[in-house]
Amino acid sequence: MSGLIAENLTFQYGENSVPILCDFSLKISKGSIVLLTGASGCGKSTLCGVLAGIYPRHGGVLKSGYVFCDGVDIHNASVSQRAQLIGMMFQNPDLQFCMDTVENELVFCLENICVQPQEIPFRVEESLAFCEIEHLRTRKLHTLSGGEKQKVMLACIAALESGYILLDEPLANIDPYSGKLLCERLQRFQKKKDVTMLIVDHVISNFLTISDEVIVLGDQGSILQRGIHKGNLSEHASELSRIGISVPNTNYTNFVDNKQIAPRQTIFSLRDMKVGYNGADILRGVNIDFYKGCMTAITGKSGSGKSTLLAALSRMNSYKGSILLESREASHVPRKHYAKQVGIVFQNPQDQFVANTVYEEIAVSLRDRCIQDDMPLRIRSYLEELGLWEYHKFSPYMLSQGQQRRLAVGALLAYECKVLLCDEPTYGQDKRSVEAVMEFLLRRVRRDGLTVIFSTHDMVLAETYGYYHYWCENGRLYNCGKRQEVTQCYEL
Amino acid sequence: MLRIVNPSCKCIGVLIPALMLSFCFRILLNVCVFGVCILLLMVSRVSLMRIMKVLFPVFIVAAGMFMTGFLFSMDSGMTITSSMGKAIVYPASVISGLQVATRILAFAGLGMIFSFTTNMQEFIYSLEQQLHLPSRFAYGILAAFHLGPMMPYEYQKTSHAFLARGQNFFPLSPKVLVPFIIKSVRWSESLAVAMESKGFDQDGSRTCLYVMRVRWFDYAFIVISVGLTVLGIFWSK
Repeated sequence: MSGLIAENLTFQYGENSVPILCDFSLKISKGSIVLLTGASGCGKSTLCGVLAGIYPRHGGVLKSGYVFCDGVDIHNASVSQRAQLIGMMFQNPDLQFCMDTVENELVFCLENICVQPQEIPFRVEESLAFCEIEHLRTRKLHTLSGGEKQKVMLACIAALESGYILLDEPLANIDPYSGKLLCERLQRFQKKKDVTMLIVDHVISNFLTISDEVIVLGDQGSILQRGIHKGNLSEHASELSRIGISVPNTNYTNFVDNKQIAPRQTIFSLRDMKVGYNGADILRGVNIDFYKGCMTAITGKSGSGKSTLLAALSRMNSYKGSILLESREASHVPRKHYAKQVGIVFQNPQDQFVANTVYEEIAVSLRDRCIQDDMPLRIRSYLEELGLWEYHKFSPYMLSQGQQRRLAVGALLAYECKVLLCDEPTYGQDKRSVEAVMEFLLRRVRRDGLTVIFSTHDMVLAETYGYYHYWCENGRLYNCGKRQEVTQCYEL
Repeated sequence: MLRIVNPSCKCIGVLIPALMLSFCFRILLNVCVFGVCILLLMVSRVSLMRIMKVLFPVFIVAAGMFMTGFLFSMDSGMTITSSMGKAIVYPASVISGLQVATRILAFAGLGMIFSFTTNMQEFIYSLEQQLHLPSRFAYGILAAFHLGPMMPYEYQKTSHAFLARGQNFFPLSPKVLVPFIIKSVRWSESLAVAMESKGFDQDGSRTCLYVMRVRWFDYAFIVISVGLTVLGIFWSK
């Protein structure tokens, strides 16, 4: 019984909660690459966890069904046996290592599966060479970029010699260039080791070229479509767009008429600005202006300094040179006053939450902004605009990722800041959620004259929503204008 | 020199004297222990700057403890002590202050000779191999320890989120720490899953590439450190 077989899986997180997967069955033949896609919240990551044996061991209830991997029942196999059968690469590259250096992490993997000590150095060498990361051997893991971390994770899977690999949105935190390299590496890995890959991603263009089949999931893990591949994608394009999945070469629905929000004045002027970290310059000699009342997109490879720039503009990072906020040196504005004018939405919306419920999260922002009696009505209207009123008693941490992001943005806007800095506000979300967040921001730009500066790896998003489009590279920021030029930059 | 001592033996050789010092009030012994510790740190080529960075707050705490002992001493009389063959009479409160202040110095010295000459990873391996610490704790501690470099930035983000909403807070106040703790719990869940996906089984067997050995000088370190402290206690009576 070779291949990965799931039969009649019914899984839910609580004993009495709604099932995330309902009577789900799937068979993946050995040696194939399958891309599993679907709208945000349809249960893709949960399915990945159940197939890998993480659930119900780490939470949830498996009401019925089983998973067999080459004839072995995954949920009854020992941990080390499971690791040798199925390897997993996670969305967040920061939280998948437990040792300090790349070499020690590989040693940790091999010790876990009881490889004899005399054989370990050889296997470490082999895995590093296979992923071409010998130069990273002694590097501290926390100093690696997102792309490098994913390569190390691949080396771990190679060391464990797992026959099946589950990848849960492995490109969510890395730029298109690194993503493309990782994709090629995965394909080579699959061919050499004849492994089976199940990739979960809502952006099908990332893996379309290497996948044998694309499977589209609907609610509760129902399979909406199977057998999609590069050759017949155009036949399914309209159906995929309908359920919120981004199809290659399609734009976002709401194209901005840039003329409607022509910017007026400069809000930030950066002159010879420099930001360093641990003795190294991340940004240097930056001379550029940002304009009031419009959206500006910043793109660039991972580690090029986009997040550092936003952190400096928000004054989370100290800087040298000059940042003028409406002709006033940013560092001369009292920090508390500055934070009220310039808000920042972090990559992870959970970093933003300061209250225990969704309702309180908005209430905190409105406390000094409206009369106490008006507050309940104002909060309700805000939450309705965000589409979150039905969750107002929930903890912010219980919302889905897309909902968390809308809440994080909405809570800052309720505080009526002048400038909103958004660090990759759309990563890890399907097309529909991306459009919802961006449209929400755009409405505020048009209605209230808000200034939005956002970073992204999505070139189409930058081109669609950014009135200005800046490119970050080698510590400098360029006003790059047309999209084609930027696309070439990525491919260099 | 101290770097080659087995970390578990070093830990025992430091903990037992520290425990013995906490049950006796010997100013001279405390000062001697502190002096020997500084000497050992020098011999082990620990940078002077690193030592000074620790000693600066330690001296402040020691001064504070001296004042506590001095001002709140139970005995208001005089104490006769001897120095270089001459009898000297001190107020009992001064002696009381010195007893607690020098103890702080001795503890700091012992702490430094352990922390400045021990590799954290080797210490955990040694605890697992020599003192049979269950691997679930050993690798759990290591994983948490390696998250350390991310912590200051995470704290900065949390505190900035409060500032951006006009919320006042004191550094490390519960208001800021609650979201921080929630995030830490989520990290620990993610790490546990990641460790398991790499075959780590808290109850299963595993091989070991880095074998931590106990040699004669490791035992000698324990015997000498404990022996010298016992001698010091009797000698300074």
